[in-house]
Amino acid sequence: MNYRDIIVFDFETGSANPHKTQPTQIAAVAIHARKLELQPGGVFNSEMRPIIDDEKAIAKGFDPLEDKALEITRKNRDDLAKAPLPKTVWQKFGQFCDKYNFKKTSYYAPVAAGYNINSFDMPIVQRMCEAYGPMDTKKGKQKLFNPIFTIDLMQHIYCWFENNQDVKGYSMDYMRDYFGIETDNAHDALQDVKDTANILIKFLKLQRSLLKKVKFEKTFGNGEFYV
Amino acid sequence: MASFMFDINDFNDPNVWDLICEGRTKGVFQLESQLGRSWAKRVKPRNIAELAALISLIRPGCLKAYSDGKSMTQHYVDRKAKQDPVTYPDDSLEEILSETYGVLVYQEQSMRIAQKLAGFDLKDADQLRKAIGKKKADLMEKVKKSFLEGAEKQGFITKEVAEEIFGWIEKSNRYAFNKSHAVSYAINAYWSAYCKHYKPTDFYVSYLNHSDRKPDSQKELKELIVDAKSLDLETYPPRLQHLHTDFTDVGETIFFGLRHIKHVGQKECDKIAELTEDISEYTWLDVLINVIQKCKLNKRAVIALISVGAFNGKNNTNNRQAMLYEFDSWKKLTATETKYICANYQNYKTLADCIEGYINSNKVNKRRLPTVIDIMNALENPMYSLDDDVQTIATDEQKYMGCALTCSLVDGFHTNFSISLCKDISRQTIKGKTHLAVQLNSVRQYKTKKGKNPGQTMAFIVAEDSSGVLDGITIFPEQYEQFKDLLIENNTVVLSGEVSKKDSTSIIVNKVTQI
Repeated sequence: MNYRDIIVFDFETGSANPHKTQPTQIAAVAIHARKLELQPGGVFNSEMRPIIDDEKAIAKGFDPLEDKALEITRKNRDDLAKAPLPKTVWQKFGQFCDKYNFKKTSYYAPVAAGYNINSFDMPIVQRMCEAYGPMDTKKGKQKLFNPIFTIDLMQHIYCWFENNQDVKGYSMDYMRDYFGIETDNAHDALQDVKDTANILIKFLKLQRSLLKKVKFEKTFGNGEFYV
Repeated sequence: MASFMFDINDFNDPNVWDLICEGRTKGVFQLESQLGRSWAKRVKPRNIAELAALISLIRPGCLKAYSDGKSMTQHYVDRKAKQDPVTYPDDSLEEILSETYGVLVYQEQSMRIAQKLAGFDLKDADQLRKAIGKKKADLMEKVKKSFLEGAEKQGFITKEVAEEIFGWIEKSNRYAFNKSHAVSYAINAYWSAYCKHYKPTDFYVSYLNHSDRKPDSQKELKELIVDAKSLDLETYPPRLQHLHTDFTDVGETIFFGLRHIKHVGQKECDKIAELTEDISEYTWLDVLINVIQKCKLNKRAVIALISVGAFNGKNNTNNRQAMLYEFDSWKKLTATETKYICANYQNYKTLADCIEGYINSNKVNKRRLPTVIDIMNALENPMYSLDDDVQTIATDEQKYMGCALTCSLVDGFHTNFSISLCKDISRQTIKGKTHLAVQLNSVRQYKTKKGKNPGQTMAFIVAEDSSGVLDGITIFPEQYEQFKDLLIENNTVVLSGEVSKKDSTSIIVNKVTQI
């Protein structure tokens, strides 16, 4: 079933509320679903111009840029004022994702993946699609990514480590440290997606090797249930 | 098709019979299916009578009509190859059935049997044919009575033998075919095989142009193109110099017809055909302004045309991803903006330069200025790599044309061990161990009926590389179980195995590796 490629993506934003924040950068890497390797030319990266003027941002229903967020993502208002407009970036991002939809139908659309995307990044995707497309107007849902499957690596890691007392947290920063990944460029969207993609591929490869050793079929056929 | 003459009454060309006997009959009338090709190899007809028999024998009735554990088709093959003796229900029938090795193939044979043994006149014999062909039980009962009475009167055979022979005729209603029909089919089949052998380019161009009449036109296209390739006839995607509505041959090369590309309709083809200028030397900017914009080609058609390389330029140098990226930017401009650029584009080399020129002209609407600058910046600093890669080219061509013509998904794959080509296997130039780097076209699962553990799953695979398609790939249950996760349609793998000793055009796989 793994004929849908995976797009690991990440937004850097000017504040923490995904429903009101303004993206300042988007990066993504496209992963070949079966080979679990970077697709040729499969890297997307662009800054995005937010509304710099706080009052104008509030008037349009967005959170103003927060200095702390800019500090974490190492951006400043002057540079962001020169970045491409969100519409331009989003349309090019759409074109990039479409490259990995080999039948150009939502069924074959690439699977969105990332770290904590269910709570944070996917609501932003939904907002961006509402503003600039593509939207499934009947269902009122984004149709850039596969409508059924998403891979949120944070949820995934929780399931693996929920009984591991050594793991003290589930933030990306903590995981980077735990897995021995350098933190030099952390919170640059492109570095974040590369780190996320590496961890994700590691887990998927591990699962594939385990799958051959575990028999899932009819596992409850013996009538032994837990609850 | 260029005219060419041949003697329509000469059916003795050995080259044509070789083509049929070797099963190279894709596109040959009545024998073009996989079934037709495989039985042609087994029946090995060398004259019109045998070809007519083959055409009759590969109809579903014959293949499903079993006696003594074999289909009637297999009986014919084994008797013709002298593996089984030719037998007749009664020696008196030899004269009628000898041409089909004792197998009752034609309705006309039943009629002649009735004439000979039961003294039927032509009218009665035709009643018998009707009863057989239309499966009318009441008529059959009436004819049977006349047959038995007639046989008794004639006295050639006993009542018991007459009943046995009639029972045999009755059973043949499941498969017997009209001989005159079969012979006329056979003549047409011979003629089309003749054209295929002596005028292959015209043959393929003609069949490719009619492929859209088939239920699965893309599958048909692919099969024809692969078949042409096996004869070293290459098909190329459309090029600026060769933008034709239909498949067209230039020397020994075939160019893909525009109307067969997904999303390119007849309207778009007509608009391109109406262009009077010589566009063969056009740059991408020329194409954008003087073909795409001038002809008002629709967006989906343009994306398809760029994706298959139709606008690649004279030396095939234009980059498809870059053209798609620029076209997307072009569509973001307003009518006023594109109009200005169309009028002034000669002064510039790239679209980004054109837009910059427009910005500097001071004719830009102030509200649009940030967007136009943004479009220009996005062109100058692309947000992702616009290099063409083998995988994207092959996938896009497959999507829009039904098959990848420029390259295959496995091109550019390097390994330490020597890789054979599908063509090497089908031409029987490889023996023993082999490795194939291929894309899997189909994986047909099959439950074993014999062997140590009947009921296990094995698979028959059809795979392709840039040299062609190979359909004789078998993977037995043990290996299938081990590698089934890799045996997915469109996956690219290395198949390691051995060339079959029974059939040197097929391989038995013992290892599958993801590439």
